[in-house]
Amino acid sequence: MSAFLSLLVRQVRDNRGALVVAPLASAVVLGGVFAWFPGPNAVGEATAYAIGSLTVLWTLYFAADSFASDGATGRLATLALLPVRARTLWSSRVAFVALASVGQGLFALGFGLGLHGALGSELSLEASISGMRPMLPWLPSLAVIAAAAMVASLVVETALAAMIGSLLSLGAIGLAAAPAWRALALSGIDVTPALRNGVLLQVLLAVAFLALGAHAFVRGQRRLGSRSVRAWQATWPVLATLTLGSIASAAEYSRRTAVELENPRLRYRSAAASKDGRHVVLEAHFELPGNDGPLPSAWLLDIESGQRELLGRAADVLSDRFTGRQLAWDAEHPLRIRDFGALVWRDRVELIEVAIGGEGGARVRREMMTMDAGFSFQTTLVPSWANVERIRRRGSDDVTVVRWGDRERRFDGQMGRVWPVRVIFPTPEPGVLLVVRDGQLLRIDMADDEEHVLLSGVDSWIDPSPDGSALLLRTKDASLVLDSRSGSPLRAPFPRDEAYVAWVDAPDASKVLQLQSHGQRELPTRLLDLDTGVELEIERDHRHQLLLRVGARGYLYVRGDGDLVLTSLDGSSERVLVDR
Amino acid sequence: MKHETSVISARNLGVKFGRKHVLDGLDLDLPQGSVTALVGGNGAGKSTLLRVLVGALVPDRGSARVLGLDPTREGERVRERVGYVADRLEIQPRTRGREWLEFVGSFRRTWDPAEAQRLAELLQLELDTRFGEMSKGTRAKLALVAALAHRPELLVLDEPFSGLDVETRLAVTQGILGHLRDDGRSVLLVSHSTNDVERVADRVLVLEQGRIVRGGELESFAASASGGLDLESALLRGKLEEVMS
Repeated sequence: MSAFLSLLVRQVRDNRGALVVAPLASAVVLGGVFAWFPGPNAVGEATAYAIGSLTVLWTLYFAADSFASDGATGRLATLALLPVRARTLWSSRVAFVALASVGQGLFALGFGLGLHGALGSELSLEASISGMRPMLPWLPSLAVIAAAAMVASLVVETALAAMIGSLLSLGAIGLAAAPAWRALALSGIDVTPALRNGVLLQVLLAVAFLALGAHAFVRGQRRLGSRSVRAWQATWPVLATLTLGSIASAAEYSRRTAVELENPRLRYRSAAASKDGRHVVLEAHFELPGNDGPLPSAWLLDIESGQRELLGRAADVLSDRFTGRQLAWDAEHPLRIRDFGALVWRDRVELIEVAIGGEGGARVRREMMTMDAGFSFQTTLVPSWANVERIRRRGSDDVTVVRWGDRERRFDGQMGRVWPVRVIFPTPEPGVLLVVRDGQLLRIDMADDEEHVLLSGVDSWIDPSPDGSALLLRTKDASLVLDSRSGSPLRAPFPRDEAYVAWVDAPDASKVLQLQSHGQRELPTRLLDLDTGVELEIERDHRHQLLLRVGARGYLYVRGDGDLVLTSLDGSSERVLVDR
Repeated sequence: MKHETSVISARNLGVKFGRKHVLDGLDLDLPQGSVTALVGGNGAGKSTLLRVLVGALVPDRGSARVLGLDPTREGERVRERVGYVADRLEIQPRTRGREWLEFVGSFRRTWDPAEAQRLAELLQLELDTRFGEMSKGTRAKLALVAALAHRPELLVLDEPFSGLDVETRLAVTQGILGHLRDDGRSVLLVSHSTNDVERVADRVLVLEQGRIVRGGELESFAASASGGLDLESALLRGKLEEVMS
């Protein structure tokens, strides 16, 4: 008989008591479940959970006891004197744990299903089987649990302590792994595709634990089964993993919040310019996989001097409540930013107001507020004659109410069909609304409630220019630019199959369109100033959303090479504001 | 000086436990066919040396050859050819003596069940007793049988007489070890009993603070160290001289 088989048989003999008691206990539990739960569905589901739990429990027990008591009694030292390699000894224990766990699992499965087959009904049997089906993808986690418990049994000297220790270690590693994964993503190593395969991940984890255990055991046996050596060898990689996870977590947070604008992994999302065009408030954020994007940092940038100031590390620049666009700001109307600060406790938040004025041309005021204090959201696209209220109703349609003096017009419907400004647009002419409804653009005069169809075949919302004096609307074939007062076209339509058309944000009344050919983002973006007729081509890095006209100073955007630049309106000069 | 026919040779062996140097630059040669006793005080490094020689403990420095093999790299091959009785045997309490011998025998190609039975009878070892019910002496007998039944080329014994009654001691020292010596096989034993050492050993090595400090043929060693006294007196005098100096 080979050494491996001898050791395996010895292990079976040494554990024969547990190997007999375990199935008896499983039988009692499953019998109890069968007798206790009423109804075929309940008993079927309970049996499925009991089989799963018993399998996990026995796996954990046999793995946790694989070395713990032998280490405590000094039997490992005796085994170290046999003419056998330490690796053979380790692998025979792994084989025993695998056999014992699979054996107990199969017994519980066979006994549980047999009970239903013999004494239950077809329904309860089906309920059992369907209850176990969702557990199948988690089968490899048994190997993870077993491997972790075997490692723990090298460190501590009782099975119970090893069981608890392994579960705690797995939990801690799980906690440390999540931020480490995000930190890796921030560093440009995205392991998300690999992690999506849950089975592969579980197998990798099990193999990692088994390798760690083999290493620690062999090192210990080289010192006559020394407990201190094997405990240290098994513990330090786990501690190192946890430490690295913690460091990664801190690093991730630090990188999320304490960033420099030069960081090439930073994405510039948007900017709000002061009305004098001297300052902009930039939003910059890291791109992370999935929807776990961090809050952006907010920066005040002086266009003239190039000086910058970090306003908030995890900030939220308050934008137009109806369009989501950044708001222009001046001395009387400050831009408002909520800074959630260094930690995620969000019961308090810092309100930052930035306005024109002060020594450097911009004035910053900070005030701590509680989250429940609320903020009055602003919009600049609702003319003064109109009072627009959006009422959200849980469980039924939303309502948008437009009031003009004592007149009132209500629009009921799903949120997207009654959205103020984007669907129900109060024009600069008092009492007149432009409304998109059922593919038509309607002009509604609140004076007499008359409705006129201006356009058919509309398949977009209304996209107002920065000051609302012009509208962009799309039909199936064309993008149209309309005068918002009359609803009449301001210029010839743009064929939709040629380019995507959108407004360029601005703090003033300028009307500049950006045109981008479909599916060819590497091509230059064309800028068309509708007021002057000037056309300009710029090469943008499209990973950054930022494109802003800063008054008469020019266009602010991220150039193809990643630099933040300001290009004059005619493109004759260009200045790098952030060299990346 | 290295023996031409050394079954064990060690050079500059060093083992540290924490900060303590248990073996500290130890050199050793053991001629074939000799019965060598390793003596020394508690903590001198005797058991540690034996464990290094059978490959159960990897030294921090130095090298050793046992039966021509490197115990660090070929530990399992060394243990297959060497019979080793450790100072402590720990096995599952429910295991019977016969079961343990079968288990140990399954690892050794030269295992002779008849020899195991003969040795058990010689030592009056009851093989059906469970390990948990065995006295210290009975456990020592079980360890001896397990170490001898594969007819090892070298026998390494760590306190083999501890717990044995007088008759069994005589059986081991005169019967078993004498037979091995006559058969040309080698023995290295650690014992605190100078009587037993004098009875079986033909060479003595004194280990102190991790080094061999004295050694030689038993008779010449005792004579040179004590002026004709017995081994115990010789060792005692050596100790006293060391203390006085």
